[in-house]
Amino acid sequence: MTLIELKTRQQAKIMSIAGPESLRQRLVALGVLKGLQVSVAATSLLGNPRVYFIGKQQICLRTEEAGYIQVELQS
Amino acid sequence: MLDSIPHTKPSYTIALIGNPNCGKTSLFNQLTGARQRTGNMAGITVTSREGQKEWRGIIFHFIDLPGIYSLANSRVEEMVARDYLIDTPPDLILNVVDANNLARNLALTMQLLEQGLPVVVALNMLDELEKQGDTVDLAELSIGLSKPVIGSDGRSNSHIPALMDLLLDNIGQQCEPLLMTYEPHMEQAICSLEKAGMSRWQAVRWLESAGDGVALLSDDQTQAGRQALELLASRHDESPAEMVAEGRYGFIHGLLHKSSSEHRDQSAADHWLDAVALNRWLGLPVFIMLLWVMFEATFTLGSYPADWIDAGVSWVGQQVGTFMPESLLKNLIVEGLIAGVGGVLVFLPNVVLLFFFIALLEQSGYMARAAFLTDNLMSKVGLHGKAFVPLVMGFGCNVPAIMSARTIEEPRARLITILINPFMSCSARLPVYVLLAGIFFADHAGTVLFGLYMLGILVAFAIAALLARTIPEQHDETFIMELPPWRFPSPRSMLLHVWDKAGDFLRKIGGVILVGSILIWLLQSFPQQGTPWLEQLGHFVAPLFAPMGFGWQETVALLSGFIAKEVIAASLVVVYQTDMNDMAGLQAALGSALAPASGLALMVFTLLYMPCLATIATIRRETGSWRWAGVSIMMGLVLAWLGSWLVFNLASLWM
Repeated sequence: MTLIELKTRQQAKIMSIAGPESLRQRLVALGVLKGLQVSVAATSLLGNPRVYFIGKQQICLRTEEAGYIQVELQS
Repeated sequence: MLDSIPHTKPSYTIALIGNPNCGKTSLFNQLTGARQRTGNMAGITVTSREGQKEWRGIIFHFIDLPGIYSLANSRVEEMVARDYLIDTPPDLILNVVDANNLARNLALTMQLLEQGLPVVVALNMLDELEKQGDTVDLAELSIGLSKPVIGSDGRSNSHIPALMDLLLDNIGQQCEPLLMTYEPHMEQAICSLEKAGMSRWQAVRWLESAGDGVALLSDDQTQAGRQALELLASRHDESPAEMVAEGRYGFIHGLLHKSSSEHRDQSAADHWLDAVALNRWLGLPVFIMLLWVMFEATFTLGSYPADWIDAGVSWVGQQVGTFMPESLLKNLIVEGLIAGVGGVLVFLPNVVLLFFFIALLEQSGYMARAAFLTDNLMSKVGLHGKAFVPLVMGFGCNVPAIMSARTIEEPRARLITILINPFMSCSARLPVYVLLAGIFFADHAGTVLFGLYMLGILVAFAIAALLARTIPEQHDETFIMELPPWRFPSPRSMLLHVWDKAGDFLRKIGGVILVGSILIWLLQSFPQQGTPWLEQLGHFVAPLFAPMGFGWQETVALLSGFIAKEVIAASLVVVYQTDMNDMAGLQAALGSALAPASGLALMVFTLLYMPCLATIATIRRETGSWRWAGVSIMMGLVLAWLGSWLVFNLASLWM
């Protein structure tokens, strides 16, 4: 599943990051890396963008970008 | 004895590099005594800035580079920093590192060290980290990095001497490039590029940026680089950027394992604040409420000190009136200078308060949250998420705001951000609102103020939507934003900021407003027989403004506002104040000359009509053509006329 499908209060782990090269470089520079824990921190009124806890950071992503991040649910 | 050779002191250049929002600019301000704008949000510094400090007889030039996450991305800020390091290598780099997000901040440090640059690391915001019960062993970190590491704090000056000594000691630092080991296929790729004549760091930079981050390569090298990238792509799903990052983070985690204690999660207070500020349903209403409270307080709290200033100005006017002999010069001083300058000076407390509140929202970290809340709306009207910073800066002054739109790379989004910026009501327009709202809507002045700012935002968005549908988009730009942790604004930095803004306002009063007031007075006093020139001019143009119920006085005031918007208030005071010496007199005169509906229309006209001269010049420079500056002027004039006509007629029906 991708990050968009992650629901509030669910915990997941980043499995891979796809998308255009510039986006991948940007995410990497911000410290969004494979293996990090993610969860939903906040949702805007219309559902896009959302804020995610990624590692220790809070990062705001639009659906367009979050859709490139593959995650796996953690129990 | 001849001593023809001047004793020049030795001087060194030190560049500050660090992630966005790591407190770099605060540290720069402390080091140089400068007062650059700071805020708890990425992207406040766009271009590099310089300042200097003398220490133990040596001059240090400090360069504050824009905050960057990496040297390998091809964004405007990153290219500014990268080109600077290559073209004019500094004597030493002061790498500012946010102690609360060590791993990511150190990833940039790794890039500097791999490039073999002379570096001193300043661990910033250490106090915040320690408050959460975490620790970093500076000595251990220093050994791991093989570079000096010092703790720093953008909020107090006590560590500056130690930092300056450390910088001094490290001039001429011996440095070997840090050798980082990457994944085997990556190492093979690096090796093949080294064979083509690249240095190791260039090879790594080339790979992680997919051929973007290294300049001046021969054709052979480019060829070898492409082949290496293709080979890597065929072997791995991960991008080279990720593989390089994994290598670096592996090294960093090893380092932090030894030197730093485990971090805890977000604190309870932060969690609670975010639960309200980012709440799906409450977030936007809370944002709008906050803005309303801000304008209400700007008006209400500001009125007390304003009365004192008013009393002071009246007193000075009366003293001059009593002691100077009757003459034209006396009239110039009392009716032109004191009335005009005093008439704007009265609004100093309101302007200062507005800047205080904006700084409060910025430094606490709320602005980044507001950007998140409004992102969807902004993207619907063709604005990029990054437009938020320039638009908010517009509430202060449109000139730096338009310049900060440089961070937006997509040309259409940038142009739209520039063109709608004048509708973000700058602080120069505040005196006009406070004056008129105080006269005509004394009981709801704060709400009127809030309404005007909202109207400005609405018009800006409507124009943005219109422009987005007429200008073609060139390419998509991603919007990924880090939400900073909540911070208690530092009283010192808030005070400096407000002090600085008050200084700007006073300087403007001493310059353009002083000259403007005298000019208006001259035009109004001559010829001494017959109708004054100003009145003639006013009557000539007045028919244009008659549909809104403006007299020749308001017409003249609006014309004078082309120079700078504060002059509108000064002109009104000079034009109406012929024989009255305090604000109450002006209020009575204006109140009886204008209908409330006209007063409202005048505020709307002031809000929307053409940008001031400085802003027009900035639009011309930033868009590179007079065409867009012209569009901005025409758009403002047409909208202001239509808007104030509409408001006048609607308000006339109601009031």
